[in-house]
Amino acid sequence: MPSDLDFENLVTLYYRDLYRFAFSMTRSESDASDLTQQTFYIWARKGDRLRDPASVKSWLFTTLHREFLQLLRQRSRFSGEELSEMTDELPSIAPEAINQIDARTVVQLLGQMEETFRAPLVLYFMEDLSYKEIAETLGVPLGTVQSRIARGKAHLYRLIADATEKKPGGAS
Amino acid sequence: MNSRDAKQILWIYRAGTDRDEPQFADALSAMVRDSELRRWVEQQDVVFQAVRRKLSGIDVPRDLREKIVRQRPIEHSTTQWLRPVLQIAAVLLVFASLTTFWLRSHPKNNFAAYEGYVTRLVSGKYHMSYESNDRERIRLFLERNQAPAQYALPPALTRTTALGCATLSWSGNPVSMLCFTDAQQRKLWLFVTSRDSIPDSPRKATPSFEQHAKGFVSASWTANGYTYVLTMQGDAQVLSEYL
Repeated sequence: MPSDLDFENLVTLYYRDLYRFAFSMTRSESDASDLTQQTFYIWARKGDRLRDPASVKSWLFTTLHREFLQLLRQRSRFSGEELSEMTDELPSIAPEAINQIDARTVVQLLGQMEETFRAPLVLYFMEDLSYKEIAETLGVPLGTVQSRIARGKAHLYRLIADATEKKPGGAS
Repeated sequence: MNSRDAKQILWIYRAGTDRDEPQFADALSAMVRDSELRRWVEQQDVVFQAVRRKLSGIDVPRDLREKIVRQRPIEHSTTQWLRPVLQIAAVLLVFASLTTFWLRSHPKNNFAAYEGYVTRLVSGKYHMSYESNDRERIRLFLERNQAPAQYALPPALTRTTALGCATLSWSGNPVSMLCFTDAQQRKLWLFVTSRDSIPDSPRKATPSFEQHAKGFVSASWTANGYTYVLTMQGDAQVLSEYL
């Protein structure tokens, strides 16, 4: 069971990452704040059941993701773009193109993708989790996670390329 | 392995994280011999880091940390060393309670005890489990935490501002506590639990009033399978304005 100090330390350590993960998926500050608060609320009530202290981070992300799925079910908002199969042609974007867009645009572009691709992709980019840890966090097989990351990344890069081409002064 | 195959494998490779992942070993070896492949991987890493920086730059609300810490459930505010002592005390308390129950055959789970409990609770120090002015978000929070959420608020309560909620327990049954404030900054609390939680719950949908210690007044009624207690500091006349 965590003490007061442990709880506060835990919040200090992870609340930003959890919020950013939640915001990347919901694109809503209120929803992201709620999900982050709810995750720590569940931790405060049930965290003592976790036997391995090393897996706290993974537990928090797993819990937040589960709560996010529940939120989606409650709002019946399970819609999104289906991604096309991974093609041999890997998209290419110049590093400078990324600098033309801000974080909100990246989140908006992520929001155009189906949740099954968005969650692994955000964990892939934001967290130093191994593929095995990402798979465990999301409760899907390792191969599936890697496939979703590869396809999702290709799709995101194409969306970024399109977005920067449309911006004035963007790459042509 | 040719350059094209290596690129397919290294497409998801993260230089800082995946160095020891065996699935990339052969493709990374090919990179040593292929300068064009090496440049491609380096460029991919620059783009990866740029996207990563964007996502890590998402602003986090300034008060979020404090909100999370403040809304921590009460039952976990004990320090580590105190826990075994409290566990023993809890066992003794349960034993004493059971003995008292057995001797007196007088169950404490009655509506008067419940009403007394909720009014004492709000007259002292308590924690809110969730703070929000959004009534639907409050309902969603309660639903997520298996607390009564399909309640019907008295129409006059729409004149107040919601402040948040807490999840409580009475005789092992979940209770939702909703907190409101009116235009005069007076607080009102609404407690909702299943009618079956309390054997002698009010049967009528018409509120009945009760005055309590510290100037608290409560109104209670039952509707749609729920028993409601609305309480505030003041008298029945003021409280009836919100029913």
